Order: sequence, then C-alpha cells, then structure tokens
Amino acid sequence: METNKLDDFTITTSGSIREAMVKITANKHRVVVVLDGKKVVGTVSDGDIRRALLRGVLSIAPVNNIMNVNCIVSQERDPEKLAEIIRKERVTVLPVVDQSSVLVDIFLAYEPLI
Amino acid sequence: MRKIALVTGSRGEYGYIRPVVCEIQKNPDLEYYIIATNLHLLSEFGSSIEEIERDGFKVSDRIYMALDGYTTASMAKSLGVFLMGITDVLTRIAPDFVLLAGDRGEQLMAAVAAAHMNIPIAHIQAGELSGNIDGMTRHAITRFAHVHLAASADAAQRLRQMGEQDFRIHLVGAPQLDDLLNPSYARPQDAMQQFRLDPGQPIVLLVFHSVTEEFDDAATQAGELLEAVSSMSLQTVAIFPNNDAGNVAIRQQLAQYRHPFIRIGRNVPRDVYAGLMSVANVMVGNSSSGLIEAPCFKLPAVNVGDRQRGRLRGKNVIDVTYDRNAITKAIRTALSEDFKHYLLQHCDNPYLGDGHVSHRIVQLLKGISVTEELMKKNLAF
Repeated sequence: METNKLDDFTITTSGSIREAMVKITANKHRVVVVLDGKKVVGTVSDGDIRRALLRGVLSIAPVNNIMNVNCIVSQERDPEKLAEIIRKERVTVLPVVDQSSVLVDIFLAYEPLI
Repeated sequence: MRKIALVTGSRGEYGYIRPVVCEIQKNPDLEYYIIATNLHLLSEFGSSIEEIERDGFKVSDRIYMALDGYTTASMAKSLGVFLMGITDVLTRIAPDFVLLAGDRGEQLMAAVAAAHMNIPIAHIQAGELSGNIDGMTRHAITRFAHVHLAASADAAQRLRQMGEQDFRIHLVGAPQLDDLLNPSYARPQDAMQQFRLDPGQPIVLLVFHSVTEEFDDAATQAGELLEAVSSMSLQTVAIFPNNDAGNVAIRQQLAQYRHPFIRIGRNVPRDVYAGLMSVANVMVGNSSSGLIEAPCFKLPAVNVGDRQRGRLRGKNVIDVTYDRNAITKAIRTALSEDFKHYLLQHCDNPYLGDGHVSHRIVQLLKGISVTEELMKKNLAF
C-alpha cells in the first residue's frame, strides 16, 4: 500500500472512536488498524464501534477501550496467500507484520469502489 | 419466598456464582438478584455483563464504581463509591440473604453494608489464604459474614482457628468446579479456533495480575514474565489483567512484547476460559485458577511471585520468582513428558469439588433459620 493511503487505515491506541469513524469513512474498508508505536495491537471495525455506542460508550473514548485485541494479522508476504487468508477469515483488511508485530503493510480485500 | 442477592465484579467471581444462580433458578421458593459492578461494566475490560445476560440471567442492578487512574488510591476510593451504591441497592431489594464470593474489595464493601443493615451474609471460598490485599480482604469478609462456605478442610480449619463458631462453618466445596465437572464449557475445537491455535503445538495460557503491594514493580515483573514466554516462541493466549493498581503497566508490557504467536484476550467469557484450560499445555502467571480450576484438567501451572502466597495448591503448581530464567525452566519442566505422566498419576484437586457444590450451597441458604444466634456474632475466642 502507498504510504499516503496508510494513514486512513491506521490509528493510535489513544485515537478517539470518532477519529476511527472518520478514517473508516475515508478508507471505505469498514476497519482501521490500531498501532502502539509501530506495533499492531488491534483493529476497530464498524461493528466494534456500533456495539460500543449501543453500550453507551462515548465517541470521544479512546479506541484502546473497544478495539478487537484478538485480531487477525499475518507474517505472509505472498499476495496469493494473503488473498487466501482474507477469503478464509472473511476480513476486509489484513495487517502484514514482521516477527515483532511491527506493521509492514496492509493487504486489502478489495479496492475502494470510488 | 427468600430473596438472595449476589455481587459480582469480575469473570472470576462470576464463575463462582454462575452455578449457584442456575441452582437457585430450580427452586420456586428462592429468587436471585445479581448486582453487577466494576469490570463487568467497563468496555475496556470486555463488558462481561453481556456474558451474564447471554447466560439468560437477569441483572437486577448495575453499580458503576471504577475511578480511572488505577492507582492504589483510586482503588480505595472506588470501593467507597461502591459502598454508597450497594447500600441503596440493598435497601431497595431488601434481600433475605447476601451471598458473597472470594476476596475482592467489592465483596468486602457489600459485607460492610449488609452487616450494618442486619442482612445475613454467606461467604463462598471463606478461610483460604492468598497473598496481596485480597488475602486481608477475604479474612475481613469473614468477620462480617454469618455463614462461612469453605472449599477445603484446610480453610474450614483456619476459620475455626480465627475464632469463628463451628455452627457457622460449612465445608461445601468450590462451586466454580461444578461447571468443569458436569461439564459446561466451550468445546476444545471452538476455544482453539477463536484464538487460531494449532492443536499440534504446545499451548500456553498466560494470566498475570498486578500485586497491589508491589504496585511499582508491576512493569518489571511483567517484563521478566513476557521475556521468558516470548523467548520460547510458543503459541500463547494472554488474557488482560483485572483493573487493580498496576494493570496499566502490565498492559503496556503486553503491547511491547506483542508477537504474532501471542494472541490476546480482553476478557474471555467463563466458558471459553475453561475451554482454553482444557486445551492448554501449561498455565503461566498468578491467577488463582491455576491452583483451583487447573487441577481438574491436570494442567500444569507455573505460578509466578507472591499473589497466591500461602494458598492451598496441588501437585500441578510449580512456584517461581520473577526471574526470566527460572520461569523458562519451569515452563520447560511443565511441558515435559515426565511431568505430564507424574500429573496423570498424582494430580488431585486439593479443593473439594464433586459437581454438586452449588446444590449444597443453595440447600443451605434455603433451609437455614435466621435466628438471633445467627445474627449476633460472638467474636470472643
């Protein structure tokens, strides 16, 4: 992924739920990857946000509180294999990491429609 | 109709009371009131109140208590918030019995309120030893409780030595073992799939909470532990700690030591947690479940540090200090074929569990007469 696009797909742990909603709206993939420094520590999806808001969590709360910490990441580099994981796990966004969980790239299920 | 109020603030306590609530439901002359508080209400800790509702139970009250900051001072102040809340809730419900479990501050506050309001208190897992502020809290609850429900002969004996009268002490067992023995928990394949575990490789279950007296050392302690675990590159499921002082440092360390082979659970539901225990090859950390529940699965537990100091333990527990080399060595021992064979032959659970503990507790609560003798405690010894 091009570096300028990466910004719409990542957020820090202290970023707000609202900020995540803005990024998800921009990236059109329903998910944003949460970073602690350079490490992937979770993902936040439209669904995670919807469930949190229904529970009464405010949109100014940090994504750290609601992110999916058991998210799917891969150390794979081969695009075909990554595509296979995306299909199997039914995710729209697959963070590619190195052996220390540092984000290397983000692999997408599809290109943005618009 | 006898009204029983129960207080739960975390997954651990919910495991104690869940089989008891199931049993209360079977009795038309008993009614339960679940009062949920602390971790159950926090998104950050997994909003486990949803698990109680998924089990089909009605939550009568929600008492929000946790002040942010998670220092030793905010912990104490949060308990003050809970004491005010529980007093109003008990006034409204007017229960015939308050059933408490374990050794947490919320339970002690409920004991303080109920005792002042002349409501009889029964206490699950009374008389045991544990390190940390929890150990003091457990024995303080004993002073307020009218009925002590012990999970081992050792605990019953300690209650007697504390000067508690014989007629108050009942050796019933550990109710949380009912769900494991009957059994009612996630299937192994489901637990593994949820964390994408490979059944062909050893599985480590890591649960590490802060020790309040060692609040300042939490980061170093978690660092030693995670250094050991990550150096072994074994597939690991690490569960977030509770919100005791020091938890923020532990969670920061978990982020620092994040590796693709370490999966994280924010707060896994009780049934999935038991499912993970059934597939794990070793538990590492300082959770009481390594001492009480793990023997049911003949699961080795590497118990780190002082949080469980003095607590009754079986042959599955290997005690170590906060030293990465000692921890690594203990994990190797725990995973060895020799130790596995040894446990198959010698691993008995020192805590009493026969699948009928909650039944006994509920029969007791149903039948016990609330007399002057029960309510006026004689603390002289």
